[in-house]
Amino acid sequence: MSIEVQHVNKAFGDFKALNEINLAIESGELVALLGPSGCGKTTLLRIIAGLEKPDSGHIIFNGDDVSKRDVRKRNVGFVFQHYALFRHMTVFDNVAFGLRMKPRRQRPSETEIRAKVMELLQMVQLDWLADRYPEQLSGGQRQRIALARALAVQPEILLLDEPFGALDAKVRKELRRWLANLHEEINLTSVFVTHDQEEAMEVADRIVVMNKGVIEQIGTPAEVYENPANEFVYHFLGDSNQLQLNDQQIQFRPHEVELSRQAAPELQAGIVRDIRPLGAITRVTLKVAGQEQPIEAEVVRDNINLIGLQRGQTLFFRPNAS
Amino acid sequence: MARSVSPVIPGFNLTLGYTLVYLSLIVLIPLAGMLVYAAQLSWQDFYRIISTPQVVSALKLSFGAALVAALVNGFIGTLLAWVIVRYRFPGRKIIDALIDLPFALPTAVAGIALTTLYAPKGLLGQYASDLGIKVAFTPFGIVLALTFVTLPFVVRTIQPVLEDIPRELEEAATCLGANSFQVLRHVLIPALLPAWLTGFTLAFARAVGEYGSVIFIAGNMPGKTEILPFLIMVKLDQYDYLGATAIGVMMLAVSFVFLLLINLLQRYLIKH
Repeated sequence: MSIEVQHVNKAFGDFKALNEINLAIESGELVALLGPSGCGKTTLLRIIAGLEKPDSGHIIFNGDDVSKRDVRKRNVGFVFQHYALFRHMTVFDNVAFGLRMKPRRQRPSETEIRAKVMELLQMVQLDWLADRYPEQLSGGQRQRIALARALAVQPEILLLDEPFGALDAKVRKELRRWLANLHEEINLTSVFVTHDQEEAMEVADRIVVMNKGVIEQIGTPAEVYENPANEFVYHFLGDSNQLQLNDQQIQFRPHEVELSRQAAPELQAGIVRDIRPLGAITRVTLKVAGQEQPIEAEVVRDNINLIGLQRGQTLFFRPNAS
Repeated sequence: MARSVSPVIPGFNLTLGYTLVYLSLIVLIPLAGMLVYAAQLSWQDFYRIISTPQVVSALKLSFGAALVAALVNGFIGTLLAWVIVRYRFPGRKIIDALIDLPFALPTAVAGIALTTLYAPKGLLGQYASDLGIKVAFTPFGIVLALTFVTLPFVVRTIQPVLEDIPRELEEAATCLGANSFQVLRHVLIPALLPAWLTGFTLAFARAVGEYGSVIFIAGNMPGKTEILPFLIMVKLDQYDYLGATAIGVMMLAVSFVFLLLINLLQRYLIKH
């Protein structure tokens, strides 16, 4: 189901949370709303869900204006950052909740509910936890249950608010890959909110970069990273170095650098402050004379210039931004 | 007790010992003393004292009015807690502070104030009489006094639990298609019920034993608006210590059965 957001504005008192938001999401897409905290991304997600009313503007699902439609009738699945599982219910009852709340005529029989819930629990690989209570689960398990619960009512749109925000780094990485796979399997239109650019890059088909209530750029991960629309997007999507060259200010990403042990006219000198092996790459921090901010260079770990490199030595570099 | 994590307060023996001594001095010894004193009575005498029509009607009134007052507070208290927790409005802090007032006020003062207000010629009582409702000197008045005195219990037990229930829970239920009634029935009430029962029990227990606020508004008409604590006082005034003790023991037994039942119910609810 496609989603269209047209001219949406929202203010909380004097604070303008969203300012003229226009956005079109195609059916089956997985879109990330990315931005720093307070940029309005969660508010936008809640407006799409119907949990929040926009001051003006329209939300359109598949050509139908749903702006006035109640949350319950929008048929969206919503996954909360802190899971929002019902503590007094077992995992099974949590997942079954949406089906049991249906009006009597549409409500499936208990046997059908049982089959459906177990199918969902198998899909999230937690069918063995059906009789446990949320308290007895880990954060990652809780979030998968929350997802199964949201999917139980067969929504046509899945909205996730910082779904991995409360999890530790490793579980988070696993879960987001798992989510990307799941999205491919069930092919729902999904929108998720995150402040983690790595997460957005890794999972999303398209990224909507937001800041201070406006959309700064919309594009595929490669587009927004390689052709940032402005300074904000450039800085938000990755680390960057600032180098004062003569009277020119140059910006470049840590990996957009060439190192050398030998001095050359086109190279800058820097004193090695720190060497950090980070797996496939190694980060070298360089202090350049005449500027406060150090330069970070990220090169592959077997880069020839790293051999025998020690702190305090002088290294020469050149930004090679394309 | 072998525990892998040492408790914050050290010494299981010391703390348990202290707890037992404290409980004995404050609760067990006085109650046991009452039982021992009542043991002077034969079963027949005991039964004769507690089965007089005056005592039986007072028993019904005391527990009945306490139950009604606890139920009324169960409802109004929940509403009050809801308003205080869920809404932000000017004067909210004042209302929050007002709720504890019935505890601070001497109960006799509350009783006299309510009687003055609700007497047939009183400020509010006159309108009630116009409508044909008698408040003071009726069981209705007793319930009113008890409701006043036990107001804080339900509010104060529910309030923290309600504050802990995130809004998201209701939103999650709504997204899954639940209507407001279903959210209340399947999400909020189950989460609040154990705390609600605690508040209800406290209010009920307190109302059963309440004396000061009730005697003024009750009018103490024999067989009509006499409560058990009042009968005990009457017997004491007549130096009938055994009779007073017998009624006390009976109240104790009935209260114990009630509290036990509520506790069992609560356990059952927490488990399911």
